[in-house]
Amino acid sequence: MRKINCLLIDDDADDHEFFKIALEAVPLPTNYLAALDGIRGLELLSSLEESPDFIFLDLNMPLLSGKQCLSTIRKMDGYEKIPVVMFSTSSYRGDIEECQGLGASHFLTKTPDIDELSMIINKVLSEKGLPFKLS
Amino acid sequence: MIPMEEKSPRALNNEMRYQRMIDEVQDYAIILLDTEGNIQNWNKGAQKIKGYSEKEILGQNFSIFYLPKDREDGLPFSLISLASSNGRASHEGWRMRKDGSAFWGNVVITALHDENQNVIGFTKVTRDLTERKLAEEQKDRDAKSIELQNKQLEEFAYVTSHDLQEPIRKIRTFINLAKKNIDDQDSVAAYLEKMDRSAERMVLLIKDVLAFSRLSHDHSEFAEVDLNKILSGVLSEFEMLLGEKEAKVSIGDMPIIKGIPIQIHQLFSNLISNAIKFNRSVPEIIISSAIVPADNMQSAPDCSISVADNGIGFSQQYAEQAFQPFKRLTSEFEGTGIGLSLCKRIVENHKGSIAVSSEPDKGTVIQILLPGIPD
Repeated sequence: MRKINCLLIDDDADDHEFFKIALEAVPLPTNYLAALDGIRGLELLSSLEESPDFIFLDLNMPLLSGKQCLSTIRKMDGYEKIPVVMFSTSSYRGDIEECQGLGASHFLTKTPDIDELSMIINKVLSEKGLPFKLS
Repeated sequence: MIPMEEKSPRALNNEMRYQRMIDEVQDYAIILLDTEGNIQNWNKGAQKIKGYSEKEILGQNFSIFYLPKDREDGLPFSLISLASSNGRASHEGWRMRKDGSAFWGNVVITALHDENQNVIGFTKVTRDLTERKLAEEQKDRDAKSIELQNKQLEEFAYVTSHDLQEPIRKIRTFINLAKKNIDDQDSVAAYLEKMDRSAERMVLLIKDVLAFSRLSHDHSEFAEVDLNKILSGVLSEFEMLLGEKEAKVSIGDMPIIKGIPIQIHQLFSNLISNAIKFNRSVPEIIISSAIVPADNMQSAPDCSISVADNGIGFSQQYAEQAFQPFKRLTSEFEGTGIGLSLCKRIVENHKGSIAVSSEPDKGTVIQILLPGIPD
């Protein structure tokens, strides 16, 4: 069975660890791709032959912010429709609305509960018609 | 010809008293103008407000009170022609006294007519409302400054709530993970270690947030500060770290400036800390100063101070972000993103400016301009 490719762009090593643990617990065949900041994330995307199936994008990163990264991704060939889930500590309404305006698919506030994170990722990967704000 | 009616002594007396009244009014300049705007009559108030004596001013055109720019634009003429057609014209604006100083005048020009409704001249009543005008301007400035402070506060509340939440969220996640792996001693120990690191980061953040917010309320007295002494104090605090990294520091002859000593100390402490920290090899730090002549003759020359390093640097396009609170330009090294924003605020408290020029893998130069001490 084909694996679902999930890319996390986040400058925080701990958050990569949390995400990886949560993703491994999802009962689907998945593949975890990592980029440690926005610039490296964009570099990775343009070097890939096949675009990832889902992109999880941190909001608060040095140099290139998640919002800047998002608008660049949406302008890239073949990336107009790829699901991009914003992944942030913030639950500030202004951020959520701005990301929606920039073409994000969902907004996920980082949760300390790994099981919950795993469940939400599972939903994102397998269900359609989820609300914009995921938790 | 109709013979002039002889005035009764009583009427004469009234007329004289009326003339006196006008003459003696001090809070209003009351002037009689002919149809061309030439001054026919002058009271005490006019002398007090505009500074000319009656002898100097009679026969002059009233446009002399207007700023050169307003005269060029024909403002005085347009006011009397408006008064001619409408009966009156009012205006508020800056006017000039004899000594060239400006006052804010509230002016009403009223046309005088003969029996056949021909305009035979104008009365011009002027009040000096400079104090009111200045108070209004001050109020506007205060309102703008409060608005700016509120905006800064809002931005600050936003970033602090985000950045301060992050370590707590991580600690909770590590607790969650430790619970799930409670029987695996090694994992639990690793998670405890990570909790500790997050808690440490939290403490650092809170300290920096406090330092930053304290700065805006610090109204300490300015004193003469010898930067040579400040720098040797800062270097002694970094002695251990400098030794560990075998850093080389060279300091030129530094000036004495007017400043808040504790803030100036913090400024250089942050800059030197950055220069040591953001470096993958042996840090070389060069601190120097120069005198910059002021733009005009009145003010003292500025002191320019530069702190240059050979660290990791960054692309110049991020220069502005470098000074924003909590904006970090790298995740490679520990930090809160407060350091340079603190420096900026300190320099601004001292009516100076700070700029950065940087290049990746080459190094960073911080350039500070501070007002010098007048001779």
